[in-house]
Amino acid sequence: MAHRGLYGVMDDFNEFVAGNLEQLLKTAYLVTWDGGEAEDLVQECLFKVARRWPRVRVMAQPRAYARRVLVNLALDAAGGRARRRGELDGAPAVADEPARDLLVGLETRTELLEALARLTPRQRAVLVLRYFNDLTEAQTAEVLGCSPGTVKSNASRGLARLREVLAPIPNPTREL
Amino acid sequence: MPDELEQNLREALSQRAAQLDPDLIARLSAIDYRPRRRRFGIVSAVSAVCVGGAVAALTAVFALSSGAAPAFAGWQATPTRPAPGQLAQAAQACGQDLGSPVLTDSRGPYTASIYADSTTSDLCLSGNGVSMSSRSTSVAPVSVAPGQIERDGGGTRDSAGHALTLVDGRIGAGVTAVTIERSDGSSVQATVASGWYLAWWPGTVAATNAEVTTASGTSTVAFPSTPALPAPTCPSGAHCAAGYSFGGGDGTHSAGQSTTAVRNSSTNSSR
Repeated sequence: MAHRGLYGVMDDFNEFVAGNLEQLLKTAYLVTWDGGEAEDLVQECLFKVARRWPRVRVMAQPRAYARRVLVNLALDAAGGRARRRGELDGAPAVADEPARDLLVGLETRTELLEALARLTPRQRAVLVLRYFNDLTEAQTAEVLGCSPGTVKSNASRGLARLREVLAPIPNPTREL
Repeated sequence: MPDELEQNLREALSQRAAQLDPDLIARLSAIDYRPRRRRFGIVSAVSAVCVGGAVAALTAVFALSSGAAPAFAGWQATPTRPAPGQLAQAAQACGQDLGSPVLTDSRGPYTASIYADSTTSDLCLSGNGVSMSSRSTSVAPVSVAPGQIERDGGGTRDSAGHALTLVDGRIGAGVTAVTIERSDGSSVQATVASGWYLAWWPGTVAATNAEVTTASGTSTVAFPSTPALPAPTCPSGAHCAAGYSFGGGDGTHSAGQSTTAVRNSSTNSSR
C-alpha cells in the first residue's frame, strides 16, 4: 500500500484554511451572532477537518464538508445552551420569544439585523446559508442534514417573522 | 426574482459580516490545526509487544470543550453499563463518518470509543461537557503476539489544571481482561473488546503496569515512564495545553511531550 506521510497529506490543508477561513468565520458569526463563539467554533471545526483531512481532501467539495461541520457544531452548541436554560429556569430561549412586541414597526437595515438576532439559531442558519452563502435549498438541506422541504419551510417561517417584525405599525383607531 | 426583503436580507447579512473583528481571522490563521505526529517505541524487551518492525507514528488532537467538568464528575474506575441513548450521543459527538466503533468504554456519563482499521485508530471521548478525540497511525498494520498488549496512551491538561490520562491499544489473541495499575497504587479496569483495550482516568497519575489476563493466568507488562508535563508557553491572548504520549512501534524506548497553544477553553495536544 502506498503511504504518504501525514504531513505530506496535510500539505494542502494550509491552502484550504487560507482559502476558506474568512468565509467560515463569517458564517459562524452570522449563525451565532457572537464573535467569540464564532472563533471557538471555527477553531473546533478546523481541528476536526484537519483530523479527517486525508479523507476530506479527496471529497468533491471539502469546503461543503467544513461548512457542514461548522454549522452543526453551532447548532449543537445552541441546542445545549437552550436545554441548559430550560433546565435552569424553565423559560424559553430569548430567541424563541415572540419578537413583534419588542421590535414592531422597525424598518431600517439595522433593525433588520436586530430582528435576525431574535430568530432561533436554526432559522438564522437557514437564512445565512441561503442568503449569505448563496446555497440552494438542496445544498442547505445537505448542510443541515434535513430535507429541502424542511429548509423551505424554515426559510419561509424565518422570512415571515422578519416581515412581521418589519411591518409598519398600523395606525391606531382614534375615538373622536 | 428576489423580493425586497430577500434583497435587504442579503445586504444586512453582508453588512453584519463586514463588522467582524479582523483580529479573529489573524488569530485563527496563526493556529496550526494539523494533528501532531510522533514516533514511539515499545518500552521494554520484557514486554515483548510484536510490531513486526514497523515504524509507528501516533498522532492526536485533544479538544476539551469549554464545558468540561473540572473533576470529571461521575467517572468510574470500572466500566459501567451505558445509560439509554448514551452510546448514540457519543457516536453523534464523534462524527458520523467514522463508522462503527470497535470498542466503547462507558464510565458513568462518559463514553470513550475506538474506531480503527489496520493502520489507523481514532479515539473519541465525550459526555458531561467533555469532548476529546485523537488519532493514531502506523505505516504498516500492527500485529500483537498472543497474550500481549500494545501500549499506546498519554495525557494532557489545560492551563486550568483539568487533566486526563488514557491508555489503549490492540490486544493479542487470548487476552480476556486488562487492568491498569497506576503510580499511586490504585488500578483502573480496562474495557476489552474486538481486539482492543481502553482505560482512562481524570488527572495525571501515570500508568505503571498492565495486568493482562489470559486463560493461562495473569502476566504483568510495564508502561513507559512519562515525562513531567511542561509548563505551557502561551502567546498573548491564547490558552495553552500540555501533553505527553507514548506508544509501541519501532523498538525504541521513548515518550514524547508537546505543548500547543489554542484560544479559550479548548485544548489541543498530542498523545
